[in-house]
Amino acid sequence: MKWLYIGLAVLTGLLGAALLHILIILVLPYNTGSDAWSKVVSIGEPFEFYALANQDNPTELFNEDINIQTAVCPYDLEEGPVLIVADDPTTMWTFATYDTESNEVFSMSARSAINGEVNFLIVTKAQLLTLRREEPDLVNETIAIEVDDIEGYVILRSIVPSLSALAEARNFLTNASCARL
Amino acid sequence: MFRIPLLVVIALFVAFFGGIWSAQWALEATSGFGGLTVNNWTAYPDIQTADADPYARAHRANDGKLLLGQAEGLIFRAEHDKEGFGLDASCDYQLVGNVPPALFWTLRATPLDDAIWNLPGGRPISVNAHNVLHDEDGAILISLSYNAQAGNWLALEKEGPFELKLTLIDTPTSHEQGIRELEMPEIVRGECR
Repeated sequence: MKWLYIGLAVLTGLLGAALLHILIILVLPYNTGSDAWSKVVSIGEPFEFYALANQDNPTELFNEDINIQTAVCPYDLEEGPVLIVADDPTTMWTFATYDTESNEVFSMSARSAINGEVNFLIVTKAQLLTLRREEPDLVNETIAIEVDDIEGYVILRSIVPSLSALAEARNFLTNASCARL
Repeated sequence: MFRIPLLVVIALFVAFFGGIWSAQWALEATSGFGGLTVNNWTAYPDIQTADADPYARAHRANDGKLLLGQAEGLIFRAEHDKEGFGLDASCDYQLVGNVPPALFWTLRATPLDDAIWNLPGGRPISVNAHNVLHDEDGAILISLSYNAQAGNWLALEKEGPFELKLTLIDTPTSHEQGIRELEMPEIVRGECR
């Protein structure tokens, strides 16, 4: 009889453990404090590209692969759309936008862009409707990315095949603009 | 005679520690379910998307990395050689075969905790599409060793377990249709010290 009760207690415990397991896995993404969005927000003010360092540092964001230089820009569409522009069309670049849950919204590489140019507009649905009416040229000249979340971050990477071009790649990233219209 | 409170304590104890331990274990053991494995190389093409499974989302929120978007590229990792043994820097390895089509790729060796080895200056810490030498058929052969090697050489630390990371930039592999005809290089173990 004694062992039956203990066995029942352990079984109940296992059931509880399974529930707790599921709860932890589901809730964790919102509570780690070390997710990508939290790190990006703490790196600096929005509307600016931050080129990551090549060594580990207190921001916990760095280029693990020196051939792939990364810059990140947090944005907020509260006061209007954000325009992302970078100069040098000879650079091999890739681009991605993420929401606050660090889910990919959009990504592209230089090969698929018009003339290889970085020229993106991040807008909400309402902002895009207004812009289409008021500045149709601007909407036609850029790649408009419609987002649901008004906050998020943009990643621009420069691919550096040879380390002799490292300085140029970093220039490309730090000169890229990520500003409100 | 057993008292009810003792049974409650047992149940709570099992629930609490069992739940926490199993969640931690799950996060360390896997990056999620959507893995794509070829020749011991594994990639997670959906881990950065909203479609990622709950384990993948928990894992990535814990790591907090700026992941590659689908059109940016894909990272393949390998922790085992062709025979299934864990990669160990006290052995030499050869990487033989072809890399999937990509605009650019890099191959790196890192310790398992995602840190970066601090190798003496001048040692090649990565081999990439730009500096790799191909043989006549277009295939590649990369030697992984602590000691300097002729041809393509990727330097390892003196000892300790490690993993290989093959990063493909702008590759059709990250799209559904590209996944089927995928060819990854084999990891063959050589001499151990």
